Amino acid sequence: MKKISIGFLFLFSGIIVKAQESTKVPDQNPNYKKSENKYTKGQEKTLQGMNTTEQKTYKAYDWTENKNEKKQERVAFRRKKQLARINNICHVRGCNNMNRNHIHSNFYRR
Amino acid sequence: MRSVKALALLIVILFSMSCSHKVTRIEPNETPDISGKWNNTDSRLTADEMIKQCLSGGWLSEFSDKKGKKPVVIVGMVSNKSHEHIEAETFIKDLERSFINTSKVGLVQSGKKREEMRAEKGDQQSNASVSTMKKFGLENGADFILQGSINSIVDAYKRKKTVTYQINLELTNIETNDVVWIGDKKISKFVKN
Repeated sequence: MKKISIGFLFLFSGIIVKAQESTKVPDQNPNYKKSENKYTKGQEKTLQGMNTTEQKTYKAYDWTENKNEKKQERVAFRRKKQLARINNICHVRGCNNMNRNHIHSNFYRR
Repeated sequence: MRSVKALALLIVILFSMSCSHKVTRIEPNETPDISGKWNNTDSRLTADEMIKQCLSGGWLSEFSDKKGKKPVVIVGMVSNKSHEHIEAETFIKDLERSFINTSKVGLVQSGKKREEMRAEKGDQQSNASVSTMKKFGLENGADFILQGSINSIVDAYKRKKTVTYQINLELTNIETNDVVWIGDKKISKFVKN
């Protein structure tokens, strides 16, 4: 009998504490628990961004920078074109074979 | 023959001068504008203005009168939506320092530093002596969060350019979601290349 009454006492005290928790602040939204549960779990990623600067920069049009970029593009294109031309010449004439012949040919060894 | 030697010497001198690398120390508050981009002077001007506006704002006295204690602030995220890479920490730190130095506003740690602090506390639970071990759950809760944004407007035509930066910092009451203060600083520049 004594054990049962102690059990009831604990149960009632638990209910009272829970009831007090749910009515802690006057005018508080009764559904606040939903929001609390949502925002107390898995917020590590959001919190890590605190005290940092989020870089969401955009590219502004700048006449001189644009001009320099175009110049660089032209230079790169010309270099590519030259390389392609050299490769083509070698492909047609067989540069590698020619060189190999020069080095290994018996004519030069003699 | 003598003139040729003199000319050669002159060329050598000019060549050595053109190749010389020179570094001069300057005062941090005298940073000259070189490219026209965001620099130390802009950061300093922003910090000065924000400190002035924040510490003279009505929110501070209002909170102190109502609660009878100084407000505690946590620093949140600052979004840089301008066209340049700008690190807000340079002026945010100046503002934080002013909070501590004036003792008008309390400050709590946030972000990665807070994570590190908690990790250290966790380590102490198993490695430090009981008398020196720091307990969990006794941190100061912030009353306000400081967040901000950086925006820019660029107007360029041929070699002329105007850039306007707008820096805004906001203080929001964490419990009530009320925005109690908005700091504003605008910096405009005319750049001619």
